Amino acid sequence: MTVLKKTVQTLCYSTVAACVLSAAAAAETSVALVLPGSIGDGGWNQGAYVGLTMLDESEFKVAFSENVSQADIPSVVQGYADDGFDLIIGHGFQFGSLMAELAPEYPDQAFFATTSAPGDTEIPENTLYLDYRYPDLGYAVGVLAALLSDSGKIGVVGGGDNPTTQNLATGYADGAAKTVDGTTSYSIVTGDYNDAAKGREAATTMIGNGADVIWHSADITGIGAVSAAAAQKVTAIGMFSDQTEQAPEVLATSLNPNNTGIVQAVAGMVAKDSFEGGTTWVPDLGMVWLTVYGDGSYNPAIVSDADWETFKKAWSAIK
Amino acid sequence: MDTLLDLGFLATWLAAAVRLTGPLLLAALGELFSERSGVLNVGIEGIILLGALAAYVTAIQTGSPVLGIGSAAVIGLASAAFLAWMYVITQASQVVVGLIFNVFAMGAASYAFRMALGDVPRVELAPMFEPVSIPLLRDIPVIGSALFEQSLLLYATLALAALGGYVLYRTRFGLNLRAVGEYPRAAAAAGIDVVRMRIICVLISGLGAGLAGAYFVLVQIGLFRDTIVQGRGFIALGIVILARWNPYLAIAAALGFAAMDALPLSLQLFDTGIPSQALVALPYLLTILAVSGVFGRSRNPAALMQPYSANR
Repeated sequence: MTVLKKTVQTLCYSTVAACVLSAAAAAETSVALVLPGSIGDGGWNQGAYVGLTMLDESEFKVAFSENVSQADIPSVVQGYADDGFDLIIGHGFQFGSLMAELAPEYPDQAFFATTSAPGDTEIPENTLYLDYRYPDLGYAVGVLAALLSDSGKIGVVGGGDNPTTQNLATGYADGAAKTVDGTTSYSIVTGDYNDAAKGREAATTMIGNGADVIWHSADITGIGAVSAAAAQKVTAIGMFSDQTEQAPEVLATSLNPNNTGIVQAVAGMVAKDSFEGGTTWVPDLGMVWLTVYGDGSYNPAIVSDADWETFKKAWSAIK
Repeated sequence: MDTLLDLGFLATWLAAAVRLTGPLLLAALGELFSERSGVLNVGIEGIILLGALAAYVTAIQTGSPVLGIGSAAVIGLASAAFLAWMYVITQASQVVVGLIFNVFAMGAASYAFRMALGDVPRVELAPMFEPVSIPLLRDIPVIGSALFEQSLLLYATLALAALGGYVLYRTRFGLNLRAVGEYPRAAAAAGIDVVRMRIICVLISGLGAGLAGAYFVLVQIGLFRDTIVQGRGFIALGIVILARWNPYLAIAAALGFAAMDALPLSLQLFDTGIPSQALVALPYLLTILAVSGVFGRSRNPAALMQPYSANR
């Protein structure tokens, strides 16, 4: 791929015919996606992967690497950069400082990290970061959870112990308390995104202490949290993917990051030369998060129309 | 809810601990037999994963969790047969073979999982073993729900631990097996087939680990993902040490480890003033303490990790 491109560029200097070929090659935007987890995780990584596969084949040339460990991430990203990819997407917090460090070496290529830039980072002109608005999202879900709770106790199971997890939990408690007076919000951080058994116990512990709405902010750990809610027939709110299939009866809705739309949007920007780096992209809450329940957006057996209205009002009031 | 001594806290903590005990105990029991015969099987982490996958795929294909258990047992035995050949016949380094096997199992499980269910698997729940609830007893405060509202598999696991203790200390087979792990040359002189004995014990460890994998899927989660084991095979190795290679003590040791794992979950519901980071790290700290000899010195089987060859 690289070799071919370089050959084309070299030929360009000598023959006109080759220049046409090169123009044709340039019209194709190449996009590389680096994933810290599996494309089959049913959530975070899968969404971005789907976005990549949905890019138009005639306009985009795509590549991806999955299950890239923290230690391998720099070399994988650099590899794609050396290969001349027009856009390199790092999907996750793991790419925070890395993109800003690497990007200046490749001024003609674009870098996009689906995370916020670490404090004090000077963002290079060809690098874009993304704000998923976790505190706002947590707040909005807290509003919904408080409305759905009969016991006045709600819970959230966290994954890795990091600022995102803390922000979601804090926002959740805040949103609930401001919506229904005296709502108690439990939060258990398991310290692990991949431990379904522990996620189940965390949720069961909160349910045992009276919580009747369970949310989570952890991929596979969260699968366990939802299965605990299903086993004990309390309301669950999904996260990072549509979890309807797992617990159709107890699930109210799922908060699904619009990674598919985001990957497409940024790839489109690069293809149309409208990519502007040097900043953090702060989209509307509705651009980064979707509410999904099967084919619809919520479970009418659990969420009344009035409650959904109230939730949506709070959702769109967040600017 | 106001104090740590609240009964609700104790009840939920204990119940979580008992639920987490099952797979740890199964894996530790098998490992205990293997180590008693002189073979350290580090590969159980990988076998647990393969067992979980076999149980999941079989259970969703056939709709029967019992067949799921059966296929996990078969996969566990097959994996262990390979490992036994490496450990006992070729006498390769037990630690290296076990660790490499775990890496292999991870890759094989991810690959097989995708072959069976596609790149982007649907969320398809396996039929699970529901908890059985024992009337009257389950209403006992604090311990009722923890002890009398569990899956049948947990009770079966406890029975297996008792059976394991009986076999190890009360039967000729157990006596021979302990002799093989302590002083294989003397055991061989007494007419015991050391190689055969060790192979059988490695197979038992594979059976225990395979069943532990089935337990994860069929009792706890209902789903398979290639990361679900999360080092519990290694925790089982720790349990064996803490239990001093004794099946009866293994019950307490597995419960202890599970309780440590569950403690930070329950503690976070209370305003203890301890940062959540410290609580999350607590089980690991206690694990180190547990295997470091703080809780009494233990002596491992004398021939542990020593290859045996009849000709030398």
